[in-house]
Amino acid sequence: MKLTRRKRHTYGDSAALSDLAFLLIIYFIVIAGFNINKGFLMNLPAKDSTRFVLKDDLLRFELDSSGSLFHQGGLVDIALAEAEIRTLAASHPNLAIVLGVAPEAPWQKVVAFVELAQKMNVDSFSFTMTAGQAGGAP
Amino acid sequence: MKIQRRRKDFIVPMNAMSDVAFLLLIFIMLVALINYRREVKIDYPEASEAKRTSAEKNLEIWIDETGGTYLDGLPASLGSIELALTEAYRAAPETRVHIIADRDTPFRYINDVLAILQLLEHRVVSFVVKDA
Repeated sequence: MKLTRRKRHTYGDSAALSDLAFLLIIYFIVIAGFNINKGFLMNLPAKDSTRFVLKDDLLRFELDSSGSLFHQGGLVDIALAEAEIRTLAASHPNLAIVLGVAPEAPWQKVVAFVELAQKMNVDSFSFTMTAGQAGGAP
Repeated sequence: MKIQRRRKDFIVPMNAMSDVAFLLLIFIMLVALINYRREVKIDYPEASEAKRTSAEKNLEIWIDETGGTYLDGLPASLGSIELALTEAYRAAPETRVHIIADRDTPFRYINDVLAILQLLEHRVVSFVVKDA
């Protein structure tokens, strides 16, 4: 009589699948971080709102259509502007900075100045379009 | 005589892993569809001190180099942006508005969008940049 051996149930060789699942999880975690926006938060004042600032506390910069920065009629770069703000902020705690932006000024230059204002912790910073249509930003 | 029984090798059942992998694939494909961003050529401005500005509810206004405006990736006029902002603000007042403009976009186009936000008294706005 031939004895038949009971077949043992074996699991297929699926160890690699755990690696696959792990890689998929890693992939998902990585792509989840792609859609996060980074930038600067700004508070917009109400349209046509007025704010009174002492003349001595006001520091005004101008950004022309090519993106060059001017202060009191002279060309300055971001480093010079930073030094100017730092000097004045020490003596004027209520310092207000206004940036006049030409309509054709590239957005990158405006953002660079917004970054500077946030870096310097200037409480009162606003920018407005200098020419062209009315109803400018803060 | 004591008969020793052969010990069975311990096998971790891993057949279910294929199901897990399959479900993960389906999940990722669905998430990819939800987060699909339509192709709008935007060269982000750069900044080194940018902070995370995404909130629970977000609304993105894109402005390309020529002044074309998009709402969450779809072309939209300023009028429809105003309408969408009103709706979004009514549904969830805490909605954060993100301005995603090309680094070379002339400021006047961004100013138009900001004017709408000011008109709607939408106070906080995020200017999106990429890390320098």
